[in-house]
Amino acid sequence: MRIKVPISGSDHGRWPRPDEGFTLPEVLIAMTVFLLVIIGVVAANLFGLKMFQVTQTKLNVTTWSRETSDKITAEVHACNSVWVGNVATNGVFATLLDGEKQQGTGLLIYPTTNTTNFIIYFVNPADQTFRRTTGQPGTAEILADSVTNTQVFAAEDFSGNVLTNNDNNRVIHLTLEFYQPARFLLGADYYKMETSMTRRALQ
Amino acid sequence: MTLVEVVIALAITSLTLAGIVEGYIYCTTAAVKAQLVEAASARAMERLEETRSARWDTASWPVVDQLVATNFPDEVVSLDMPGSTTGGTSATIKTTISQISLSPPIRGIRVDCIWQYRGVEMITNTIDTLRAPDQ
Repeated sequence: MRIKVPISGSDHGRWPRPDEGFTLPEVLIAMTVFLLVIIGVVAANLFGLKMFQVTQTKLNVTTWSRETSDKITAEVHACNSVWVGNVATNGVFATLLDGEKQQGTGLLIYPTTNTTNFIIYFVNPADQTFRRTTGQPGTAEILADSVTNTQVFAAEDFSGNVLTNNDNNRVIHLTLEFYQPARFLLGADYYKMETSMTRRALQ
Repeated sequence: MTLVEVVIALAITSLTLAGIVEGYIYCTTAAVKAQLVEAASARAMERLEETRSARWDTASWPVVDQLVATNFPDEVVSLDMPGSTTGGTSATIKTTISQISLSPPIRGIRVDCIWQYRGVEMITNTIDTLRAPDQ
């Protein structure tokens, strides 16, 4: 006589397991499809990251250009006098004299007849920055970086010819060239901004 | 899950991804266009400032008048640097000077910066102003 002894932990009393399941080809196909979807999502994200960086750079430059050119233009329009010159490495601004080609790295603006009150825009070739400073200590600020040209300011006549004297009716021409070196996922990029401004209070 | 369901799901996923990528490309294109619009506006303003600096002195004898159309011919300028991602877009600056009033003497100055975006879309940035003789 044989007696069936119940064993603890057996499947006794549970639902019977289905005898159907995923076959190996089904699993492989499902994994392949899933992998394709994942690759697509990751590629789209990487592409989006690259596009975001490109867009961010361009929008930043556009915003900066608008803000800076508006500020310089307003200051030149309203100033008492304006001088093109060069900023030496010791920080001294030297105006260009009559007879010299009116083209330099800096622009000196006197808003009033008071010569202790001034504004200077200049390019620092050492770190390729475009800066603004005033007669007040501690007001120096960097407006832009990656500026590759140094002769950014020029005094011109109404036809665009660079002057060799301090003509009263001169146009101050600003040219800034930017170079953005290649970075992760991005190639190098260039940008140039040009604008002109004329002092309104002609005397 | 049948094969048809899988194919439909994949098609929907592909469409979604294509839409996202297209959105990114549109954003970048719009940024480039904004940059060129800004550059065109600056070039138009540049010409306007040149007309402001032209001498127009009715009080002197003989009268000095440099504010005439022949002094401001059409000019082709670059909106960007060659070799940049925008490929060096060029624009044409047109200046129109008209007599608005003889007494008091006032002239209208209109500057158009005309350029083409990606060889398809013609865009014009226009600036208008009025000017009196030098005081």
